[in-house]
Amino acid sequence: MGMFASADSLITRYAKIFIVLENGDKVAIENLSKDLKTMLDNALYYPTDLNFRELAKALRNATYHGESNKRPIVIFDNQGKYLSGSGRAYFVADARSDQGVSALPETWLLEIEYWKANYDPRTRVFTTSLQRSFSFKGQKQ
Amino acid sequence: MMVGLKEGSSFSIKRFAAKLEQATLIDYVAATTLLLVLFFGFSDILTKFSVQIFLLLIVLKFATIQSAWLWGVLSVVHTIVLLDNWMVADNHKYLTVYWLYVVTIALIISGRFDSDRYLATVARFFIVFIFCVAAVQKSFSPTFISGEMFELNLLLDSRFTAFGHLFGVDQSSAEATKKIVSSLKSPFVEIEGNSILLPSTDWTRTLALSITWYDVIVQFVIGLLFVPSRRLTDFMGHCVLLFFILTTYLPAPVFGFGWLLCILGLCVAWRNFEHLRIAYLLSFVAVLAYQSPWRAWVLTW
Repeated sequence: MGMFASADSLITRYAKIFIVLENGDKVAIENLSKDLKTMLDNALYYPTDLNFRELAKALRNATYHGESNKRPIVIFDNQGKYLSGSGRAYFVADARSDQGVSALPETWLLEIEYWKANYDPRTRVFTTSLQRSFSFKGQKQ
Repeated sequence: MMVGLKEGSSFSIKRFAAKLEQATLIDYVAATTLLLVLFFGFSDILTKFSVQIFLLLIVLKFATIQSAWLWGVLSVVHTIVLLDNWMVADNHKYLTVYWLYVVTIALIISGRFDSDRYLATVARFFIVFIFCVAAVQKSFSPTFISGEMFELNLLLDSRFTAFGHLFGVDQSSAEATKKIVSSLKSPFVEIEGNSILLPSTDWTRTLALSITWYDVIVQFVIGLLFVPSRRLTDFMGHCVLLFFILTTYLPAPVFGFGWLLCILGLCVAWRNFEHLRIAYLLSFVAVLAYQSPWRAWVLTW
């Protein structure tokens, strides 16, 4: 109920963050520590190149804790019913901003996908679309 | 007239009440504005430190509360922090910082010019500006006026869960919606066509639309009632503003904005509606009371 009201908010904006390893495997970053989450929220509020670059810089210097097994990607229909597996899978990791020894190689590609959703109250359909995709290369600083 | 206790005097409710009655508008505004930044200000260490130091100085020497210099410092500190956090600062934080400068100017001119009239004029402008601009913006926001914003808030925003529960929003559909949207956002889930049907209900839609239209209409009414500056329209405006404060900040936890509205209403009501002063003072108490964990209580019913 603020002064400038809109459905376009952090409810409908989100990001998917991946690390792409040298062999092409992807690591999906599932959880971020509080300050990384704040930086992500800043980037989602104002999705500029600069803000995503700042986030990428912080992620580059983060510590990661992940699983050794891949998690499969599944496909659902638009009623929410499971359809099938996609045949693809990602590793999964959490990121923390405290600098430490990272298990990841020093050189990696960081991908950040910025998504936006909208909802049609007449049809009750919630639709998401990829707005921008960012790729950052670099060594750990 | 300062409200305070002289060293060595014993506390007397009668004497305290008499001093409250003698307090001027600038006394109340300074006190409530300081409480605004103390209770609902920025969480930044710089603003917290400056407010706490100011409060300490007031405890040591009460007259400090009317120091224009200190209010000026407080205003500048809050401006710096606001600019540093401009991307994510809530709208009412901008208004709070403007108001700090208003209080500073009121204290500078106090004694030479009618600071009560200055505060009332600026507060009236703020009320008209805030409500009219908000109502116009909402009217032209397609995702607001369609009810989309409130329907998503009722289903997905945890701050509205208890409110929705009170008004009959099916909690199972809200929970299912949260799970579905969470899945959609997951990197491990792909949805055909990137679209999914949400299990909202006709009642949720009706409630969302009702809140939407109430919000736009009541904000237009408040803003427009304070434009003519006539006794009748002002009285009606105060009644609607008080109703807005008392009903809005129960579900919407933007307490700083509610507190600021109480200060603005108090300023406008001060000279012409003495009895409404009590209503605004009680509204401050209500805003504080709304911070109680009523949401948790409601959700266990």
